[in-house]
Amino acid sequence: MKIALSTANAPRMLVRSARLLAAIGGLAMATTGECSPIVLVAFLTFFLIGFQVQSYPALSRGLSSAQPFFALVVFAMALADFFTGSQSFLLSVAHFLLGIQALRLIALRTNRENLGSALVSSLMVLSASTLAVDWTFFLMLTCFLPALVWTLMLHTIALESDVATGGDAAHALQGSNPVWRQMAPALRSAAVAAFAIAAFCCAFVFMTFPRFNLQGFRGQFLQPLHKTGFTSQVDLEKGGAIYEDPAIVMRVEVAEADRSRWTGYMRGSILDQFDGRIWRRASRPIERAYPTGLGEFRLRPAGRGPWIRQSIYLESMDTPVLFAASHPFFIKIERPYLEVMADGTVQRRQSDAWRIHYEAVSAVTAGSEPFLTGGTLQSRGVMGAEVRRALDVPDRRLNRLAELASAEGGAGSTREIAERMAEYLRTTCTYSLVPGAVDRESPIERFVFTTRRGHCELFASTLAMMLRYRGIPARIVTGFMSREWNERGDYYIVRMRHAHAWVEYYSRGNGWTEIDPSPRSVDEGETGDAWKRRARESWDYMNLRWNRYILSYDLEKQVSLIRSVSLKSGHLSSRFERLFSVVRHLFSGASFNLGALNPVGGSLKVPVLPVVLAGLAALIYFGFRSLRRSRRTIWFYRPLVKILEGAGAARSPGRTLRELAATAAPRLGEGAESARILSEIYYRLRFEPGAALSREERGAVSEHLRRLKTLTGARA
Amino acid sequence: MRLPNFFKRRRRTRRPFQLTAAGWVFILYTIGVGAGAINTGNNLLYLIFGVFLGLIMASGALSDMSLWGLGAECFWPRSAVAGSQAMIPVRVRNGKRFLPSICITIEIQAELRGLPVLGRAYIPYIPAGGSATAHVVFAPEERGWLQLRTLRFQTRYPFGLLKKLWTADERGEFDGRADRSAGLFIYPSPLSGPAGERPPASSGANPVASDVRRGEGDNMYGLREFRETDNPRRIHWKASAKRSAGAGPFLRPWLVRETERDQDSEIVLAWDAAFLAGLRHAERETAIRYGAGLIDAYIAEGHRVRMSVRLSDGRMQLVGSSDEGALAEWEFLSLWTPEKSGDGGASRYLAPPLPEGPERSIDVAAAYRAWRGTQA
Repeated sequence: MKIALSTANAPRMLVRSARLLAAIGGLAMATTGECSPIVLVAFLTFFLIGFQVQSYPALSRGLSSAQPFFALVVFAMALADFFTGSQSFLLSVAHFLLGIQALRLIALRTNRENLGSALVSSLMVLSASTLAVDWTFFLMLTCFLPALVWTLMLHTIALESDVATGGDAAHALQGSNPVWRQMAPALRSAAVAAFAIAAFCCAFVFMTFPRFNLQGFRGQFLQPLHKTGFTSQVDLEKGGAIYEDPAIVMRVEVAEADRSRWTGYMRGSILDQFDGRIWRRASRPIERAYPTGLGEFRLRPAGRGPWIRQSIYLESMDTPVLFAASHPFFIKIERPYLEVMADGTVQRRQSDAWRIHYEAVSAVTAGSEPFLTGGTLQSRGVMGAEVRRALDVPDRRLNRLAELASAEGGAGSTREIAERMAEYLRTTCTYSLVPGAVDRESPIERFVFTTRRGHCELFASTLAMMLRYRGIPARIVTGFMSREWNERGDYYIVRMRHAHAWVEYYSRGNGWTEIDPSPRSVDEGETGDAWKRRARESWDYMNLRWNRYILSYDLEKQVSLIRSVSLKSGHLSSRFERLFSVVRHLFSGASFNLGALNPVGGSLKVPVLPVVLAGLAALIYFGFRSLRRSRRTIWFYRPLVKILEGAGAARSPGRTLRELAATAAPRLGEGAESARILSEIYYRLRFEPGAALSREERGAVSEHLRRLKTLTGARA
Repeated sequence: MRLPNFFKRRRRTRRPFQLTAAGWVFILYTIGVGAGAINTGNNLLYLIFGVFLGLIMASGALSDMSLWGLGAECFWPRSAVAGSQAMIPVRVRNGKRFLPSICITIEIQAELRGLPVLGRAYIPYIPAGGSATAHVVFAPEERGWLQLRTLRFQTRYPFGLLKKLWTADERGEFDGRADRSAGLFIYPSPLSGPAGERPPASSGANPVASDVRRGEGDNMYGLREFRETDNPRRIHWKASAKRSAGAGPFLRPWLVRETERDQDSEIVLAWDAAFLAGLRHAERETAIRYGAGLIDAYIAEGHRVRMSVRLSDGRMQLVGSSDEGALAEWEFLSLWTPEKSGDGGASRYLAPPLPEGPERSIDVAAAYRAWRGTQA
């Protein structure tokens, strides 16, 4: 049957349901925090206008017919947005979908338009999944699923009614319609059941579907959107805005024993070339490190110093750099390789900036060992180049700074000089995110001699240059510094505003040592109302869980889950076996060896007994059902047909038992009457509601059958 | 039950399904999302992929449950007329104790003159353990015997992604309360044209039935025992009382009056098989419709119409017995295919051959030719 989608007006209930679905889709987009506020406001406006337009059928029809044109316009705008702007493809798609849906919502009239709107809504949720970072997506999906189920159900009923009644679907879903009043509760139950089945299937597929990551089509085109502002250079003229951004960059779990050792610094990358105004990262050889185990990268020997173990949930950033405390020597991450450089920077491949979870073990002190053991980077040449580069000063000599370095550094060991300089900066300058006007020629000198006010980049730059003027190799380290503690989930939160810069200097025997000249206090989280803080922490903890259990769920976790299930089911099986053995001893003490049930002996982890019991239960249940069905299909039907066939009445589709009996009558002779009686009884049992055979009738049926068998047997 | 039979039973799909256009789109969409998830490793895409797969599963499960335990009872009318709609009431019973059936379409596949004919009805809701009645509508184009072949339930519920079907079992193990021998006569649609141009009724007054016969009339014919279908007004109370009918321990039936048939009102239409066999299909059907129109017109005038047929071997036979009423003539006209041996099953309506044809009858062939002449 070919049923075209009707163009008749859709029932109001279906329209409302489709609108709700669109609203959830729009909300899902909004909660990602990525979409342009202008587009979102436009969507909301059109959404509200749609309610008004509904009251004017002529206008609604006109707008509906103009929709293809509007869609083209939106498409052109999205293309222009993508090619001329700096937006990602995914965001352009999201904006396009919001635009299309907004236009659809103006004129939702027919069943077809409602179904189209539901489809666009699902695409919006799909698009949100590529942008979403926190667990609000889960909330949206949980709202979206029942709404989708309900809308599809209403659409199906409307469509079927439309076809059956010739376009009167509106009546089918009206509250005044008695059939609808009867149907609605059943439909609600069915929607709940469908939701439950879909949710169960979703959980099952999510947990068990093998986590492949083919990366066949995933390049710059589909890069994540979340821009963190973490760049590979620092311009001293700019900066500052980043330190006010509360966006979360990562969540860090630190092993309880190591918490006291961690100062809150998350080392990222190194900047070592300075032209007087901008710090840049020098190009240097990159070595690939490959895993030695399942995602395990051993970057260098652990050393004898104390360790810090961290589990880091990094959000998507515009840098592939991996952050960890001080000097990581072991990283566990699901990547085929890591890129490691002589300055201690560890990163994923260049285009990989996706949200990721990894574990890192870091040494608190760098030690004198080179960063990598083995490989090309260990050579003296490379390490020597690192040190030499850390002595470069700008072409335009900063005389006053050099003099200050000589005056404040004093004499002594490298460490003593560095500490004195840092202390000088801490005491004479104040930390401020608003450093005031910056001298284009020499922002450092203006900071240290004039304003004496600035952010961490200015402090770090000044110290690094002072050290260099004293002949001590120094460079800037960029990363984060945070001690914002989430008590609810026992982890640290690192935000964008925790971005920080400090200094590493080199000394013979100690290697690269960190020093922070900035008087910036470590952020230990917002204070305020306890309940508000708790609420914030709980919300963020949900995000961590979301990240841990959903976003970071990977092949390794799948394997571990399956192992765990296998182990637990093995335990369960053992318990059943023990229970069975107790029962066996209680009753008669029969020598039934359960081990015989297990064909591969005790090492089998599959729960043999539960499986066998479940199988038996299924067999009994289905067998019983089949038996009931076979009783219902009237037991003497088949033997009778067989006898009639033997008497020359060929069966064919559509031929009834009466016809068979009539055809076979001449050859049955005396048995014809028995065949007729049996066929009549069959029809009575089959078609008379509640008909059943009495004991005498059952005897008679058996007698007739026996008679027929005897007669046909005798003839044969 | 033997184990092989058990597995054989499990293997057979009793309720197959077909994907709808929306279903195909949805499945392709789901595959696309799955491919995207595998490509990017985005777990949120895996979640949505799981949700979509779950919806497909839920769709299959709920539609299957909707078809469980359904039974149908068809109330076949005796006849319908070609070219107009025939409505067959079907009562559908939901045997499930707790689950209702939603969005059920009943489809009756029938056969008319070797061609399939399809009728449908829609029932939006059948409560658990309850029943609902719908009218399956056929629009037969031709006359003949509309033979039930299969009765099928189908549903697109809940999401319209797939159409689940349940067809009557070929072995007759159909729990649908439908009699496979059931069907209905599709009478030829009478042509309204001949009413003004037909031969006069007097030319067909029936001399064959000159003997006294029972039937509708004014003269008393005799008495007989009461039958269930008799009009109680015809009970002859006096005669019944004489034989103590309807009372006492030795109950005897009432007696009813029978009347003589009014001979003047009976008309015989004479058909010529050879004439009809010589016509092309469309022309022959028109001729039969013309004859049907004559029957209609004469009956409307109050005549009793009978038919005789001159077979190809020259023998003349009356259609039906005088007691069968007009139904036999109509049913004969529904089935009669003069060019075929066996007359399409219509021969069973023919009475034993007459030694001679009726002296006076209306020759349908001649009347038809005359009518066609006026049409041209």
